[in-house]
Amino acid sequence: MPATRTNGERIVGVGAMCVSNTGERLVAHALGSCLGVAVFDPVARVGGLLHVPLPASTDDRERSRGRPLEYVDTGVPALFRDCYRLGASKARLRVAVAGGASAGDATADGFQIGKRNLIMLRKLLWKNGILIHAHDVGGTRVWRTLSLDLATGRVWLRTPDREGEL
Amino acid sequence: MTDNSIALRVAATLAFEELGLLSVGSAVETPSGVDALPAAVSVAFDGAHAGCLTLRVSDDVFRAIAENMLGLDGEEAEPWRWDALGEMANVICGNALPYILGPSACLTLAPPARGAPPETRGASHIELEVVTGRARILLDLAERRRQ
Amino acid sequence: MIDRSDAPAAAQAPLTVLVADDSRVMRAMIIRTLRLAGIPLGAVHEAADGEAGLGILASEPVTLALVDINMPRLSGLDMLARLGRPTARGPRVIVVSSDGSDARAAQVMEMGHGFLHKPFAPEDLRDAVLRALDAPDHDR
Repeated sequence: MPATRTNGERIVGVGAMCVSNTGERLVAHALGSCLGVAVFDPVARVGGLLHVPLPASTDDRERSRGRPLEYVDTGVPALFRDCYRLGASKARLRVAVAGGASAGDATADGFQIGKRNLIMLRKLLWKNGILIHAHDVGGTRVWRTLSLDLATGRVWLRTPDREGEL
Repeated sequence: MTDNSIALRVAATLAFEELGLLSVGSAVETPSGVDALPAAVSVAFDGAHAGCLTLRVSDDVFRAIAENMLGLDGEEAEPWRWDALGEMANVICGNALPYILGPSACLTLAPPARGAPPETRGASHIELEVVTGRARILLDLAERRRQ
Repeated sequence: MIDRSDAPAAAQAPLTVLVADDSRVMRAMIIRTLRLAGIPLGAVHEAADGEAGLGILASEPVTLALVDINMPRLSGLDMLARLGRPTARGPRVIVVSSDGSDARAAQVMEMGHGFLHKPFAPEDLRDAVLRALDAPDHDR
C-alpha cells in the first residue's frame, strides 16, 4: 500500500515508506508486531518513515520479489538510500523505532514476528554503524502509532495509554 | 523440562538474541550428535557452588555469532570466532546461575576454555533451534559444599 | 518503556578510557559502541585482567573506566577496591558484567559505581555512559 495523504498528514501504510524534504507530517498507525522506523537529518531537513511488517526477505524469496518495503532487511536500506538521495548524511541521521510487539503467548505467536523484526533491525544497524536514538518497542499486544514531523524532526508516539514525544 | 533446563533456556535465549542478534526458536526434543555441533566452549565456576557450563553450536551458528557481535562479514570475523563463542558461554552462565542457585549466590567464573569436559549423567541440558542451526547448553553442578 | 538519548557529552573534553575485560570481543564491542555514540574519545586503553587495568589507572589520566568483574589475576571488584571510593578527580566507573546476582549488583552500587548487565544493547551502554558522565560528583 502506498503512502496516502489525509488532513495534512501522510499516512504510511503497511509495507510502505515515505521520504521527503517538504516539512510534512508522516504517520504509521497501529504498529503491532510491525516496526515503524523514522529517520531524520536535522541539517538537510530530510527524513522518512517506513512501516514494515516482516523480518527477512530471504524467508520467502518468491513472495519477497518486488516487495522490498515489506521486509526489514530490504526496507531499511531503501529508507536510508532514499534519504541520502535527498541530501541526508549517515552521520547526522537520527533513528527512532516503535513496534515489534508480541501477538501473545507462545501459542498465539509461534512465529515471534515482532521480536524477529527487532533483531533483524538491530543486526542491520549495528553492522552499518548506526545506533538508535529513541525507541519504544516490544511488549505484548501493544498498538503504537508513530509520527514524524519533518518540519521539526520531532517524533511522536501514541498508544492506548499515553501520548508523547519519543 | 526441568527447572534447571528452563533457566538455561531463558538465559541462552537472552544471550543469543541480545548479544548474538540471532533469533531463537523451539527447544529440540531429539538432541543432535556431537558431530553436528562441532564448536564447543566451557566455563568453569566456583564459589557458593562449583561446576561447569558447556555451550556447543553448529557451524553456521559458530560463524554467525562472531559476525553479528562485531558487525563484520564472513572471513573478517574468522579470527574472532572462538572469543565470541566464549563470551556467549560466559553470558549464558552468568545469567543462568542466579536462577538456579539463588540471587544471592556469589560465584567466580573462569575464562572460557575451548572444548568440552566429558558429560556426566546428572547434568542439566537444553538444545535450541537458533536461526538455521542449533545450540546445546549443558550445566554440570558439583555436589553442594558444606557451609 | 520510552528510551531516549541525546549526547550532552559531545561538548565535553575528550575522554581517556579504560576498557578492562578478559574478552577481546567484548572490549571491541564496547569501544565500537563508544565511537558510534558520538562520545568524544581521546586515548582508549584496553586491559585483559585486573592487574593490567590497575597499571593503566596508575599511569594514565583515565576519565571513564568500563570494568568486567570476572577477570584472571585480579577481578574487577578487587581492582576497584584497590582504587578506593570514587572521587571527584577519579574516573567515572561502570561495571559491565554478566553476573546476574542481586548480591553482585548491590556490591557494585555500594562501591559507588554504575552497573550494566550483560547482555546489553549498544544503546544501553551509550545511555549508561551518558548517565555516568552527567552524574554530579556527590551522586557518585
